[in-house]
Amino acid sequence: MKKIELEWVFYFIKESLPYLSVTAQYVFFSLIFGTVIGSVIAKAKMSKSKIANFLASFYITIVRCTPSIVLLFLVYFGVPALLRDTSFGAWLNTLPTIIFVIVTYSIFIGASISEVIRGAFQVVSKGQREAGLAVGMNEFQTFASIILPQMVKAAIPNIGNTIIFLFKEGALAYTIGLHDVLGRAYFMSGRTMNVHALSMYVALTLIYWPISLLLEKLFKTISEKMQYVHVETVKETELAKEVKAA
Amino acid sequence: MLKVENVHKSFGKNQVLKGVSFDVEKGDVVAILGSSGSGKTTLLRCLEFFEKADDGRIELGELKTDLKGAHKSVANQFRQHTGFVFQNYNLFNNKTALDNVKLGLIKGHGVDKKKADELARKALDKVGLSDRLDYYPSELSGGQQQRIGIARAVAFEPDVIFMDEPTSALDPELVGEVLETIKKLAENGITMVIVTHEISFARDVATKVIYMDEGVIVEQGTSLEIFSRPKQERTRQFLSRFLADYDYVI
Amino acid sequence: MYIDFDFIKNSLPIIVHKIPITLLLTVVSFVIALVFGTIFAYVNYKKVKVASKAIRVYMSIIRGTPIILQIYVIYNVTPKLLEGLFDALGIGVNIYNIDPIWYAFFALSLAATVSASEAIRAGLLSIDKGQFEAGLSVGLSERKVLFDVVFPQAFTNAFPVLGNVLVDLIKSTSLAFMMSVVEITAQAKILGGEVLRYFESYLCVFIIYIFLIKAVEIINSIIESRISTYKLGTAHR
Repeated sequence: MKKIELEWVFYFIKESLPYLSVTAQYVFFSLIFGTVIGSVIAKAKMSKSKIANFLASFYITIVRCTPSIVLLFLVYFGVPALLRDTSFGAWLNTLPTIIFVIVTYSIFIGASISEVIRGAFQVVSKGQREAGLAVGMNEFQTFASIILPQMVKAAIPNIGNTIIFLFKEGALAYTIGLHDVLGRAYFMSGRTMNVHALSMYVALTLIYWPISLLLEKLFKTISEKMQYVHVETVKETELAKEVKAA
Repeated sequence: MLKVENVHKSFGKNQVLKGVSFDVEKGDVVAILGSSGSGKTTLLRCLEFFEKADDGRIELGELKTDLKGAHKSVANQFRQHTGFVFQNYNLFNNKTALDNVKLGLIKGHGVDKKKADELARKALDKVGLSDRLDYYPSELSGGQQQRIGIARAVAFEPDVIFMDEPTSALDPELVGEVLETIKKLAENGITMVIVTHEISFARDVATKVIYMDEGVIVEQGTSLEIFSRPKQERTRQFLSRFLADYDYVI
Repeated sequence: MYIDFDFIKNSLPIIVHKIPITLLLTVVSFVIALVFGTIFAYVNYKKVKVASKAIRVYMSIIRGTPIILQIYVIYNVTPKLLEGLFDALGIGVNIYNIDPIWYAFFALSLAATVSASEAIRAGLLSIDKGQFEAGLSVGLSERKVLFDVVFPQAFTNAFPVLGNVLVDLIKSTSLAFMMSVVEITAQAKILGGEVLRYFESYLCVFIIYIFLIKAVEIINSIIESRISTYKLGTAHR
């Protein structure tokens, strides 16, 4: 293995950075479908039906107790292997790898998102809904204009964590052959017999680390910005200065 | 026995103590009075080395040191001879009442376990909490916690006990039991320096009273001198706020 | 489509047989994480100048990169470093004789150290300064206050989060196959690969993990309720 060489570091960054779009795809779609699953589970968990309640808890427990790579293997290798002699199984085999990744992570984060949603829902007090109804809005209007915005605000930090989790944990998809940022870098490294592996590791660190930091910072800023406090706009303060000066 | 000289302390630009000196003899009960912000709590915390004073000296029996830049080990030596009772009790949350008292004896003073157990039980008996030995702080009332705090400070028989507003965090109905406990210590001749807002308690129990304002000692003397014949106008004004109550008592 | 129950019946015992490896990976990495996590937490808590800065950079890198990258770096780079070191020191050890499980301990404890350190630091920050002062006031040295008063409380407060760190660690051991350590996931991969019964073999691992982690969670909650009686004020109710 050769020492770290700057030009090879740049080479790997240049080669794998475009594949950030693949990473972004599974992060985005897993988040969307995960939220859908999470909403259903949260609804079930908060419902009065004992069966729905049990099923939701069961789902959450199972997923929480499973390593994501085991779930990934089960979805990618297990399910098609099980269904190999059916036409559905044959169809599964024609699907691109990223679909399996998205399915896996949607199932996976569905559990944690359901908890986030439940937590956020509990933050918004019952009085908010009642106040909405009292001023003449219907249930949907109250939910959409009063409860949902407050829930989103409460959930922002956790959503940020989920996105960062997906961004990093999704790299495991390399083990089933997906070419995302990490997969692409490994692939290119393999083509040079891994002689420049060290440079590749540095390149990957230089891609993942700053983006994680950036995401962290971004969500911190968003959640700070979303506080319900009076914010003086720049115009106002400037105006105030002028008034003072005058 | 305790000699404090010229203590100075600032927090940033804010000068909290501007040269405070006083003496304490064995058996004295010294009450330090003053309005909030007069620096009396800071003074006590400097003497226990919780705050680093900017200047000043302290002498306790054979021990003496500059307060400024005193080494940790020196601080520890002094603390071996002083007890401290906190405003908000600060009992060790993870220890029972008995263990709260024992810990300092065993690990701080090298008393063997059996002897420590005996001393701790005795100390808790003195404050009337023999029936709460294995209770954790979270299970006890504020008054009970503070009495354990006092037992903890008394147990290793320090030369002097510093008390930092021992009753000001308590609900009014719990103040009495703690003052009663302190009074009993005074009757047993235990030397104490008490920062307090309980004026009538100070008048009844203290042998010596110090009145502080804006970081200096305005006046000090025997309880009788300060309460009956205050020399300084500022002292008179401070006491007059409580005087209505005071006159009535007389 | 059918589920091969015979395969499951034959494979499950073989996979179960590898549970000790999974547990060994977990326990050793967790101990490493606790030791270094505590040291790092304390250094950060005390705000030791250069050291705490260095630790924060380390923590930031580990938190900001995929675990799979960390594993590959440790697995591929450490042997070379050791080889160079041994050569320089003239130690005649063939690094290729080192059991890969040692790399696994190292790689898995990297991330766990970061989470453990954060948990413990939060635990330390939750302890009131007054606890320190009370300890000093009864004549304890700073070290004794730390060990008898502050750390016990900090660990109790950190316990639930440390429990999560442990659970995450158990899950991470499933990545040890990348370092050619044969634990339960690797065993399932091998067995499933022989006859292409992946579904059944991964189902076995899936079930084993659920049992393992559920067991750990139950043990955790029992211990937690034991050690936190002092906080809840329930000992005499």
